[in-house]
Amino acid sequence: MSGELVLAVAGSRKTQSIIDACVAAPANARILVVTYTVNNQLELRRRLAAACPAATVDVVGWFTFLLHNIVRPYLPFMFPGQRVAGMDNESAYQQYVGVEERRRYFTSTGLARRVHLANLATLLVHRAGELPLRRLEQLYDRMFIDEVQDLGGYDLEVLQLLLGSAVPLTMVGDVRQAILSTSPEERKHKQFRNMRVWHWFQEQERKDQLRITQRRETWRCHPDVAAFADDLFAPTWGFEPTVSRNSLGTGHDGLFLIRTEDVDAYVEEFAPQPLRWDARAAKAHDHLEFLTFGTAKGLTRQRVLIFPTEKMRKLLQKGEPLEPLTAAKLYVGVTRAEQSVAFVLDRPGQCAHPYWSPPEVRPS
Amino acid sequence: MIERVRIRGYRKFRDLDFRPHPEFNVLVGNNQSGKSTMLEAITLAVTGRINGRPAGEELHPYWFNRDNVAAFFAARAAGANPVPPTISIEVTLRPGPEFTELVGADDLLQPTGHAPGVRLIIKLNDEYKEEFEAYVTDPQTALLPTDYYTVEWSSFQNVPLTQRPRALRLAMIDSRTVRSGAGMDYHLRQVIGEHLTAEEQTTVSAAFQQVKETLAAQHLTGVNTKLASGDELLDGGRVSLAMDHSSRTSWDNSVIPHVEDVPFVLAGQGQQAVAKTVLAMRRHTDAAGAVMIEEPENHLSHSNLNVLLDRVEALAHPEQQVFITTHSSFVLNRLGLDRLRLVSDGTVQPFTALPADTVGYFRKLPGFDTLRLVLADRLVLVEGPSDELLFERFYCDKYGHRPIVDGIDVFSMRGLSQKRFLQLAALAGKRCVILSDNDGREQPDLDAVVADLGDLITDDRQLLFGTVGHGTTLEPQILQVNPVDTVRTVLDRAPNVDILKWMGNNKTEAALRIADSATPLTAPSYFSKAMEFIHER
Repeated sequence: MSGELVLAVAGSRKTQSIIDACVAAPANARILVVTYTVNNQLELRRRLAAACPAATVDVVGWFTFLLHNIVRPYLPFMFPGQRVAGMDNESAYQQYVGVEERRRYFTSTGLARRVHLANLATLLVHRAGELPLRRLEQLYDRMFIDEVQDLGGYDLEVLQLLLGSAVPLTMVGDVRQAILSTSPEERKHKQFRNMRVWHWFQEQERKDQLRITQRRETWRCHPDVAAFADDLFAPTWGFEPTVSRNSLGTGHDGLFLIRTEDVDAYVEEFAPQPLRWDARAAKAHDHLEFLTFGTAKGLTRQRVLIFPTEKMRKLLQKGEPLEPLTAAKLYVGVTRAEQSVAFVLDRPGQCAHPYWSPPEVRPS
Repeated sequence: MIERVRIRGYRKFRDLDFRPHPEFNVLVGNNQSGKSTMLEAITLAVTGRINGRPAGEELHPYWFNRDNVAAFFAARAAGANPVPPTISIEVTLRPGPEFTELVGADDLLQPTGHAPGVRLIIKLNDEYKEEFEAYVTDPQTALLPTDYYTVEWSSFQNVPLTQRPRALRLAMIDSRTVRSGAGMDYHLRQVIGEHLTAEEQTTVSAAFQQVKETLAAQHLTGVNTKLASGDELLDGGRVSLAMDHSSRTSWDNSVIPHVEDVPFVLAGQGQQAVAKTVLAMRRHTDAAGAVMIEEPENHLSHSNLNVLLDRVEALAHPEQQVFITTHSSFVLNRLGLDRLRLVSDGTVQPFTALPADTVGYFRKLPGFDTLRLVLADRLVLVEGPSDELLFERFYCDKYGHRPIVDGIDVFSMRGLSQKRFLQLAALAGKRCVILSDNDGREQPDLDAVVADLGDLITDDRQLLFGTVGHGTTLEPQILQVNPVDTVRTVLDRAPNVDILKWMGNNKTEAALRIADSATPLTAPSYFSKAMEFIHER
């Protein structure tokens, strides 16, 4: 068994653990680091360049990885003579095109449809008698996949094949942050979409295909913030409680509520990062420099100010649990913060977090 | 090292699957058989270039296999919609850590496994589909419109290449077109460039830059001062001199190799060929690579050719693959017949099944015209030059033309053993007959000789002896079947001359006179049999 999943909480220096492993590798080692988001690729490249590992490290995106290591080299095993002009990110899911048909995977101009790339890669690994795995074994001594929770659909089939290769594979991710998806339309493995990919990993562990370790220490989030984030998920998920290594006190630490009329004063006082669901939410506060829960992923801020959705308000006011995708988004939002998280909430309901109010207006 | 060359639709090669020998390949064939085309194709796939220029710039309608093009136009004319002719050249390399990046399906159309390699595809550019369609619907010529074609050069990984993969070393030594004129040609610069490590190149380059700057600073200043005091230009600007720093003047364009202290381009063409070969083979003697040498016999005297072949043999090592095309039997015999690859009609056949002692035998007999033997259609082996002359004459008398017209080549033994000859003929798949003197032996002895040769003698390969009792050599055999007076007339000898004795003492002269005579003589029976056997297909 050469596979490992590191389930790491936000702020546990996931990416840094990959950088550290690359730096520790011997000079003749060849390491492949795969990740999904472009931002994370740039971040990995930047930090690797700064760390100057002696080993050779290639950082590629997931689709580039599939294209260059499986689809391009082994395409003749399924579609002899087919040209690969590039990748097509726009194609819709080819619902009525058979799995054996060229049209399913390629546009008429020879662009590979991204939406079916993993499906094609899976087929090619089988058709070529798993030669693509042998190729990877020749090329790399070690493989990392960062942000592995973003994979789904046929990506999981590819992961399973990779777990069968001799290249030690370390997957790093946090299923609590599974808010993106490489394959939103894919029907394959629907039951493992987003956070439920955790069940797929657990299944692989039961089948002895990989070992799961949980990194539960966060260097980022204040203990109160970490505890709130943990509570977003029912214990049935089996996530270990987060341990906070943040012992800094700033005088305004933990969870707070803010009334709408105090928002501007709060922003003035603490300069938090405002977060909302999407551009249609909190229109009245468009003057703030918002990020969405999605775009905030991967960032660290001292404080965040969250404009909750209706469901989030119900969670705060009545303790109604969130469905997984919303929980994951809120988890991402909350765990951006080092010291404090404030919610804009006018009626507290059962919510016990203290309200912050601006100091009494001083006489001028 | 090149393990396989797969060519589809390129010039002579409609569909070639050639697996070269790991160390030595001596490519032999008639003119126009495709020897050079083969090397050209390998160079194309490995470097993406031809004659030092990118393939796309040199693309030519005649690159496409003529039969493919004809079949395409014929099918169009018949109303079908065939796939436009395409060229694909695939070069598979021996797997090794240095080539791992190039690994992918081993064949674009019929993959069976994976291997490192490079491929060059020349196909219709999809963007010009309509223009192409319009052109071939009403073709003015039977040539393909290559303007609408595109060249795709990639590794087996199927990722486009922009330059030759670094680990892939290939040197082409083309002694026919050693370029004179300015500096070095493309290949030579490549060879010399690869002799230097990256650091050495940087050092030389930096030093050269410095020299240029020194020159400008110390010696051009004065000139520029003078120029500055001259008349102003129209727009008020002034002229001054500075060194040219464009890549045209980089160090490698400013140096040339010297051979024996003579600038390379001024050395004899033979010397240039030797120098290039040695340079190419010597670089990175420990690194894997392939060296291709075209017709080394050109521009070289016999003794210099010997020197070159010595060098080639000495510098060859298991990681260095050599391809040589030649028209010289000398080159072939010296390098070893087992390394021969016969190129003909768009195919390449190896000769590896030759026993080692036979290879050694021909190596010691480098003067023997093996190449003629390999290239002929059918073969006749006779005892000596006089037998050769007479066979030709008898054949002319019988069929009205020389045997070569029927593709029959007649050889003299010149010390060649019958067994070696037959082995070679067997391997080359040639119909052949050996005409031998009986040397006074009785029939049982002769039968034993034939029996000894075992399966080398077949319906296609015969050994015939002069009739027992009709004399030991050809001359008495002729006298047996022709009236002595006729022979005397033909030979123009006085009545008192003993014809048999004179013929024995003047074999060649006698043969020449018979060959030139207006009066035909009757051929001895073993000659007649041989002629009939070899004439029959």
